[in-house]
Amino acid sequence: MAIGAEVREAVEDEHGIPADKLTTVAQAARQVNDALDRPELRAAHVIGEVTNVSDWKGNSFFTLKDDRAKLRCVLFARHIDDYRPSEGDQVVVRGALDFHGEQGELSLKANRVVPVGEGDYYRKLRQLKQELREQGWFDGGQDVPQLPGKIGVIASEDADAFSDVRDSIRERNPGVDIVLRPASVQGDHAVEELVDAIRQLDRHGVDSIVIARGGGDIEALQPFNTREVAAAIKQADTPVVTGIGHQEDETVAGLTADSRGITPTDAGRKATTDIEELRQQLDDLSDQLDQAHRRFQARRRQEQEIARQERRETLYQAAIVTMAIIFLLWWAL
Amino acid sequence: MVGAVSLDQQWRTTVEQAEELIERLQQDEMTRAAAADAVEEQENRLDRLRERLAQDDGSTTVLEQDG
Repeated sequence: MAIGAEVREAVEDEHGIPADKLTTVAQAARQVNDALDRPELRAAHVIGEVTNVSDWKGNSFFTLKDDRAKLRCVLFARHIDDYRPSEGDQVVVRGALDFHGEQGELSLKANRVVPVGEGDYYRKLRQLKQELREQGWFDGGQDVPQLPGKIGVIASEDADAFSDVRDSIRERNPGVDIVLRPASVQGDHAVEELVDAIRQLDRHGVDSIVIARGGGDIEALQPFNTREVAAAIKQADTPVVTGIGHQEDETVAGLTADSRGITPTDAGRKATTDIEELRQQLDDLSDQLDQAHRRFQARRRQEQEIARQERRETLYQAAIVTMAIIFLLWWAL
Repeated sequence: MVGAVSLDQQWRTTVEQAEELIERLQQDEMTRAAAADAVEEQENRLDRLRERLAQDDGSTTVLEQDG
């Protein structure tokens, strides 16, 4: 869209910005693309770690990153042969850098992706998991109370994850008190806040702690893959249940927890038993008790009857013997 | 939670006691009078748990960060 003469004049008159220096956003985007039109950028070879992968209609979308920068990439289906980018792989992407004006996003349109090894982050994560597994951190620990009076939940205050956990608990046991301890679940302060929250709830006196976070890419879940958060879970006296990300997200925190839900809703389910099941269990126990008592009484009545019968028989026999003796005495005399 | 008997502990204890009593009744380890008293007491405990399970007014509170 061109800038009208009136606007140009007004900007120049009122703000002192020369009219001939003004460009539209679209023009600026075009200039960026013009600047990218260099052989080394139109046929770039970029090495990095694959993350945040998604597939759509056979095309592969992913982020290429290293420890200082990220770059969105797209690999169209026609360029995919035997390798499809996979989370955590170290790859070399060959393609053209392109600035997509409508989305305001720089991306690398790949025409070839070559896997060259395992990414740094994944390697460290794999090593951490292996180390903690060998130290027995993933062997499970405490039983999660099935009839909690109070459950502590750690989640971002306004996130769906908290309402998912709360609704799931309430659906199964509406009498449970829920204590939300808000904490950042991603970003620079997340690890520190999560550790503080776990320790605070552990001291607060709840029957179990649920840590919940909705889905996200591997970077968003990074705080849950740290030794610090895992240690806080391991050291808690209160049983911890996690519901972090989706089914496929196996975080260090989840592996360390006493119970792991595959989603926040599932974590709520694992933190409490359905009240109807417990009522049924009580009714069954009452029935069994009543039945055992009736049988006990019946056996006792039967025993008493047998004892009476035996006494009667003994008396009868004694009477016969006595009569026989009397008869013999009478006969002898 | 230190000191207080939690609802979960109360549940586990009551269920365990009921199961033990059923077993003792099955093994004829009691007199009739003792059995009647024990069964009545156990039924009272189960009723108290039923009352707790009937509560449906759980609260939701927010715990502020320490300090």
